[in-house]
Amino acid sequence: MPADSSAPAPLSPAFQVELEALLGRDGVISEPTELRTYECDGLTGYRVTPALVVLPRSTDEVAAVVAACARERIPFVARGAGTGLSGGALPVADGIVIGLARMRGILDLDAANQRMTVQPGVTNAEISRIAAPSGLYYAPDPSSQIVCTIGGNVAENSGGAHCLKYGFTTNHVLGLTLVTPDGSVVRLGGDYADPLGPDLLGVVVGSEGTLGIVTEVTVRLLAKPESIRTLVADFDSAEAAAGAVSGLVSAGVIPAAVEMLDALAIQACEKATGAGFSLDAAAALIVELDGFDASCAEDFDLARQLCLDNGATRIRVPADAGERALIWQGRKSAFAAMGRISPDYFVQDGVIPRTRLADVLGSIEDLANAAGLRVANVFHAGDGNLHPLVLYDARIEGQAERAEELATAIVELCVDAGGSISGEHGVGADKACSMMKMFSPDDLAVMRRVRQAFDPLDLCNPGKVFPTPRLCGELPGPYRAHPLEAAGVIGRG
Amino acid sequence: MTDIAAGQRADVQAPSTVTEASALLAAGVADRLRVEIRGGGSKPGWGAELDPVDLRLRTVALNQLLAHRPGDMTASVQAGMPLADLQLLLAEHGQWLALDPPSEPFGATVGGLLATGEAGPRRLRYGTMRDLAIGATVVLADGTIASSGSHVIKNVAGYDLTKLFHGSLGSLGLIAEVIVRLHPLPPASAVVHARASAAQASMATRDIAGCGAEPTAVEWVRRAGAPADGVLAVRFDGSAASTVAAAGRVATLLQAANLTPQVTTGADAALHWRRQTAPAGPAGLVLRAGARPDRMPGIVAALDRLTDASEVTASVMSSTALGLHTITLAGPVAAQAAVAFALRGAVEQAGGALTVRRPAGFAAGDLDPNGPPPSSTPLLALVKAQLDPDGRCAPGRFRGWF
Repeated sequence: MPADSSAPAPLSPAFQVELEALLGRDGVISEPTELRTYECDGLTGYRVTPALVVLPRSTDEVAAVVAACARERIPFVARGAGTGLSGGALPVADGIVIGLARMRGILDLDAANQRMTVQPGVTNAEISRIAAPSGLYYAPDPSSQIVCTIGGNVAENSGGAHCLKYGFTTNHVLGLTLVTPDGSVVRLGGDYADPLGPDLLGVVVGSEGTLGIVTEVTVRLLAKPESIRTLVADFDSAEAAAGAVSGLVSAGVIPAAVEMLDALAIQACEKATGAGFSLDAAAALIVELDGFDASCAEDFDLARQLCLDNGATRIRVPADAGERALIWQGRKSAFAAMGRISPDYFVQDGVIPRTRLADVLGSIEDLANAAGLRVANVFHAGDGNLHPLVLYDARIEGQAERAEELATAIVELCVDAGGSISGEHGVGADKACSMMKMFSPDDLAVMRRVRQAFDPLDLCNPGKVFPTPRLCGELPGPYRAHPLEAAGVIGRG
Repeated sequence: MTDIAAGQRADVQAPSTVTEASALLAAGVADRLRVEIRGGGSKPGWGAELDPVDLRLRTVALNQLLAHRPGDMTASVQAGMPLADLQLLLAEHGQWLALDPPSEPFGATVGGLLATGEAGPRRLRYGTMRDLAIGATVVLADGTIASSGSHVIKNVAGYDLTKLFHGSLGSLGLIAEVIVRLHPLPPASAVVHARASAAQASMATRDIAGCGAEPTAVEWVRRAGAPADGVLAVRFDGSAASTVAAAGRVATLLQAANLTPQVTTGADAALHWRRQTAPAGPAGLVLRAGARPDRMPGIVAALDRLTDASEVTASVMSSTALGLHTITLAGPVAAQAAVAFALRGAVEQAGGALTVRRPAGFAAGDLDPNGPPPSSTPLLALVKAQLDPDGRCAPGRFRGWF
């Protein structure tokens, strides 16, 4: 299945000329130094320089490029902002990257029907910004939202802190225009709910760019909640905080967000942002409720009481919107903040059933102690989506390898607990090998059959999602921060 | 076991485990046996009528609750378990699968709700099986058993096969088990209702969406033979205090729009809601139309023009905030088909689509139940060819498409 067996010929000069004729000379990048910009996404340990990068502006241009690739059997990889954390936009050598950064048009805002249609290069935050004058917003909020694109969100089925109440990208995409791997243009979903037949839209969202290239996205917009109430609760132990999360869930409270930080994460966030987390707390929960005034107020009182019942040592309620924003800034820059307490780290993304939080956190600590490494935890506790950060120092020989082994052991622990290898970062190139831990050969074979239906030539983002011997023999290098992340502009949780 | 239906003999089998189902399907590979898969049989008229089949697979014996994890608010269920039975078991723990499909009293099963995508008015808040099914085990025509998802509500590993089977109407294989996300049973409900025309209901729906209250359902119902105005009904579920407050706010808003709202709270609310939104009784063709929500007055006006000019009567139930309309016709058969055909044209002109569900034995002539094939039809055909290369499952269900 990988590029090895279908062995594409190196790109011919004639092919580049053809692409330049389609897109204009400024739409094709072939300078080696410029190509290097595209060699990785947010998973910076994996790097491959593509043969060419093209920057189309329309569905028709994408379709023409893809049709040419199909004819010449040249693999192609779609790319949005390149903030993905699983190597989903990792280029293929001798293949091209189709960068969608120029497709930033707002095609339709239909406020009366609470929907907007945009090109894939529009950022997540831009959608909410454009919708704001109509009193509307787009709910999924990945931590990289000011940079990451809606096209990338669709590919990864991105989540975010507020997905507990509102659901993920797949619950908010009403329709797509898809360029299929043979260059055809297909509309999935769209103007009306409940289209007849198998739900291809639901399969394409989250397929990590392996089933085609999305060139238009129609998203559902929600009315802004009239009330938002936030609290930060400190606990003496991560177990106590986990108990409070279970308490919330079983009391039937569905907060907009429940985020948890352990002591290491609190230290890092405080050093980086001074958001006001208590440095002496073993764990902190950020609980946010939103919606109708009356029910929000009731649930907020209940949430506060449940935190106290589960041993909260201090509860802080932000006095104003500014203080609330600072708390979220602290949370969303948590990954970048790790640089304050460790030279290097791996970020992990596993999911566990919510009732297993306390014991899995304990097991992670045991694994970390056995490996002689520190693990910081900052994660979406409400839906059981863990982001353990394995801290290490690449200058110390053998530590990067131990850290990577620990990160893999942690995600396998999640699977053993009945969870998943990924809650929102995707499988990509990073976790293709772990798929075998979670799925049977038959499960994977059926997924491959679906892929065959869309992409029989295996040209569309090959080598991702599915385990292959070639991939599974490789080891990634140490994590390096995305430049924007290092600058603290974006987060990754 | 055999039964004779429509002059045709077919084996009837009711496996009670996934393995049995797999063996039954695999045994038919060599002879390319064509298979009908049926759950509770509460939605027989969905999709086109099947071609003759050799094997009728029933999920009636796949009816066990496999695991309920109250703390995680998830459950895994065999596909043939009736929703009504499941709700009783979940209610012991104060939880429910947040679906209220009209077919629930008629034996609708969990697997059937995934295969059809049917949901009721409260999908406005909770979504459909598309949102609530977080995993499934399916059996393909060749006997392959495949699972996706798990007991976690957030999961992006691998393709979402559960969603692929949403709306598949038995055409891709058997849904054997489903893992669902659960919700707490709301302690209280409140209902606001008011007489409203389609246009008034449409305007009010938009106002309600922006008023801050979070309704679980907004429905407009107009019974056949009733006055020209229908009834707009808005439901809230939650604590007693918050539902009363929300209903009060919406009542004020409807008053400002010159409507005359009535609020029902307490124990009467749920009963009142059921009465207001009870599905139209068995009649003729059932049309399901979808379009952008604000197209609703235009679609109702088109329907009225068509029924005024014929002997057909129609009742309408609209999920106005979602732009979904169920229209039940009665009257001479040929005239019903003519209304359906013409209304489809009007709905398509409004950017929507209309499917037709016909009762058993209803000869609606050339009326195509599925409507014109969408641009995704070639892809659907390729997926079908990959998962069911011999076209054994639900042959003819998507006639004209794939």
